[in-house]
Formats: sequence, C-alpha cells, structure tokens
Amino acid sequence: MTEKLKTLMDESSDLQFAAPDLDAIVRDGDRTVRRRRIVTGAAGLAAAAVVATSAIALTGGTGVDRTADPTGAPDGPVAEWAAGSVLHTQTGPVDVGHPVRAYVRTAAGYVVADDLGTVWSVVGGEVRQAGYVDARHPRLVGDDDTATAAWVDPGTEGRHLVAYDQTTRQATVLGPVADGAEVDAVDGGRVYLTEDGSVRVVPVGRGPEAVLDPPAAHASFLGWEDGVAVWWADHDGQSEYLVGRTEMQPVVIPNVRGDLAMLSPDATWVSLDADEPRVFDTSTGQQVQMDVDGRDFATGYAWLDDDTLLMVAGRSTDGPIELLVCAVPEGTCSEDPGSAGQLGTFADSPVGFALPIGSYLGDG
Amino acid sequence: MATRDRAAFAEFVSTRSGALHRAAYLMVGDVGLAQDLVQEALTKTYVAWPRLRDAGNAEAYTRKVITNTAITWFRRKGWYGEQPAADLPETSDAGHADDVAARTSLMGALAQLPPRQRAAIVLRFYEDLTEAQTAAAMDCAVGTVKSQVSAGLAKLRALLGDAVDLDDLMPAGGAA
Repeated sequence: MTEKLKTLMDESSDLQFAAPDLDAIVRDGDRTVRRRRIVTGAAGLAAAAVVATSAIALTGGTGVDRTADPTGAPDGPVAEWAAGSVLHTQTGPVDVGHPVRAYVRTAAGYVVADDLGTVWSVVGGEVRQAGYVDARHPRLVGDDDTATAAWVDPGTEGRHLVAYDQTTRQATVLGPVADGAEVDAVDGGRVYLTEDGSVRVVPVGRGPEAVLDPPAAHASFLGWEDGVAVWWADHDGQSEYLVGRTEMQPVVIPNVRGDLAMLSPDATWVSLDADEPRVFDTSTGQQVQMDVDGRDFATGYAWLDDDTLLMVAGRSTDGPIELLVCAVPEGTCSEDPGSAGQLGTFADSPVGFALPIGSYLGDG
Repeated sequence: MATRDRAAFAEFVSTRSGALHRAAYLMVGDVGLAQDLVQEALTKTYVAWPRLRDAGNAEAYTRKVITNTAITWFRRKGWYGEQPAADLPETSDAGHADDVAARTSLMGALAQLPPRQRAAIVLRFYEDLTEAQTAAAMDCAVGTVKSQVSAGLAKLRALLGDAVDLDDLMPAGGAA
C-alpha cells in the first residue's frame, strides 16, 4: 500500500453531496445582515462618544449625579436604550460619563460596561466603579428582583466570577472560572454560569454550589427566572426550546431558531429570538399574538415588567429602526416616541445604540 | 467583493462547495451533517462577504467556520463515540478490497479522535495547511496544533494497528 494519507482521505471523502441551498443561504444571511446593522452603527457611535464624554470624565469623579434631565420623566412606560454615554430610562436620560458598550437593569438601577471593560454601577444617576469585564466581549447579567448583577472578571491572575450588590456597593468574588465560562443569569441570590458544557449554580452568599441538570440530552441553557429555566435543544436537525421548572416536564416550543430567550420577571412569558415576535406562555407553550402593524421585522429584547415587553423593529431594510413598547398578553404595541428617528436604519446606520441585554450588539 | 455581490458569492459556492463538503465530511463522518455544516458555514460567509475581499479569504473564512462549528457540535452533542463503519463490499479484487478496508478503517479511527485532534489532522494532512494556517483555522496557538496533531497521529496509529500502515501513509515531514 503506497497511498499517502491525503490520498486516502481524498478517496474516503469522494462522495456525492447535495448542492448548498443558495436561496436559503441568501435569505438567512440577509436576515442576519439586517439585524447586525442595528448593531454595526453602534461601533461608530461608541467611538464618537469616547471623544464626547472624555471631557465629562475629566470633570466628574465617581459618585457624581449625572441625571441629565431629572424633570424629563415620561408619563408611561418607554423603551430603554443607550447611545453614547446616555442611558434612556423610565425616569429620563442619565449620562453615565462613559461610552456604554453593554448594560443591564437590576431592581436598583443599571450596570454598565464601557469600551475599556470597566464596569459601572448606576443608581439614581449616581455612577460608581464596580469592576472589570472583557472589554471586547462584555457579558453582564442583572436580577429584576434584587440589586444584584454578575459578570466574569478577566483578571490578571485568571478569570473569576463576581457578584455585585448595587445597594451595599459590595463586590463578592465567587471563585475562579474556566476559559470560555459565561454568565447566563442571576436570580434569587444565585448566579447561573455555563462552564465546560455544564451549568453551575453558584450562591452569592452562603450555601452549596449545584449543577443544573438539562431536561434533554445535549440541551443548551439560555436563562432562568423564578424557578423557570429555558433550554435550547437540537434533535436530528430540528431545534426546539424547552421551558419549565426543573422538577416538571418542560413545555416544548418547536421549530424555532436562535439562541436568546428572555423570561418575564415573573416567568409567565418568554420571548424568543426571532425575526418576528415570538412570545409564549411558559406554562402552556401557547404563542401570544403580537400586533406589530405589518412591520417587516420585530423581536423582543427586554421585559420592563411582568406585562411589558420592549421590541426592536423595522418596516424595511432601508427604513428607520424603531423601538416598540408592547403589552402582553394583549399583544398591542406602540412605537416609543423618545427613540423615534434616533437609531438610524437597518440598511445604513451612522448612529448606534446599546440595549439592556448585557452584551455588546456588534461583532466585537 | 466590497459589497455583497450575490453573483460572485454564487460562483464561490459553485466552485468550492465540493471541496468544503469533503473536508466537512472528514471532520464529522456523516454526509448529512457535513451538508448541514457547509450550509451553515456558507451562510456566515455570505454575511461576512463584503469584508473578505477575495475568494482566497472567503475559503479560509469558510474553512475556519466549518472547523469551529464542527468542534462546537461535537462538544454540544458529545459525539465522541465511534461512527458505525460501513460493511465492506464483496469483491474478488483483493487490491480494491484492501483500499476499501483502509478507507473504512481510517474513517472509523478518525471518528474516535477528540474533535480538535480530528480537525487538526484533517486540516494538516487533507487540506495541506501549514501549522500556522491550521492554528488560524482552529483559533488556537501553533503549539496547540503541534500537540493536537501529535496526539491525533499517535491515537490513529494505535487505532489502526495493522490495518493501515500509517507511517507509510505519512507525507514527508508531515508529522512535524
């Protein structure tokens, strides 16, 4: 036998393969491009914001009240978003003095990662340094019910898990984590962390650490709220979400793609990542019909409360990006007036923004 | 390639999908999975098309996506187990039977390698990539490629035993 290894591999792989589905590639790719364009604008704006906010940073130290317009509180619920160094909140805009690359909400305020990887705690307009995350790929999680946020600190001595209480201003190091470990959720005094294919449940205070058992083989953990977990699983090319309490049989939501899931604060509803609104009752799996007035694209990005879902939307690739405030289960949506015309378009967006999902929206 | 030129992308798919499928098949050992892998990788390539600048970059990018997606799939699904080997066809041609046996043995042995070792072997000895190119495709250091290739070849030798003389199959200097 005189064949070389390459020749043997050549012969082993000399099989008939179906031609790639070019139409499906272009369709799926265009959807991704459209959604990413929400995002690519963010880099430009963040860069501009570095310059704009440097002067602010020089004149203000930590603990400074940066509420830009304390009298500007809106009448009803509004969309939450950030551009440059300004968070747009339910009580009006707050200038945090640092470019907002990623941020989350807690019951007490907001936790922001800037473009240098510094984490800032924002409570009532007061901004305090709280720690550090990976500057390029920040990942923060916040608890709707408490003042706790969590993240992985890259550290010079190794990566470690940190929980931060915005009320006591106390950062707690919860121990080392492996490369690639990522925080998924913080809820009820526990941080949920995917590490080496397992989901660790790490108590913020005293108590034993646990590992969360998946409801199906090869399921990926997406989130946790009030005892309800969301997993994603893939069986023979068919993907599905599994939603439910660990001690019960999960609700199965089939034929969905994506890797994001947002549970409402009381875990009654879950909004899944998609190009169209996908909101489900977590106890029955029934889909809630959302009226987005014929918009070409709309997907949930955050829950303001148990019944109010925020969506990012658009009527066309060339049209403006819109933020919607939607009522669940009524399914009614209205465009957020404060962000109207501020976010650019999906096709060509010179303006960028961040959403309170804990991650940077761009490619990094 | 400054814009998302569909015609140019279609030509890239037409001319390169065969080679991409074959590499994907060697990494996952299943025709259906290889097709899914290439479809997913080409979708990501289409999204990245405007910044890839030329077809060479596009192929390198697609190969990188295939490699890392294959490794991720293996990790997620725990596909470390041996793939079922096809029955040898009956033939009176002893030489042909030897060839088929060698290919079957190789695919069975590849299926038993950890995903990163398998990817490193395919990239180095099927794709003929340098260690630096393999490291770029696998998002790792050159030293990691060396250790993965070394461990992968050692395991292949142990798995193949007398069925295939791996040393005889090695390209000159290939194991370095």
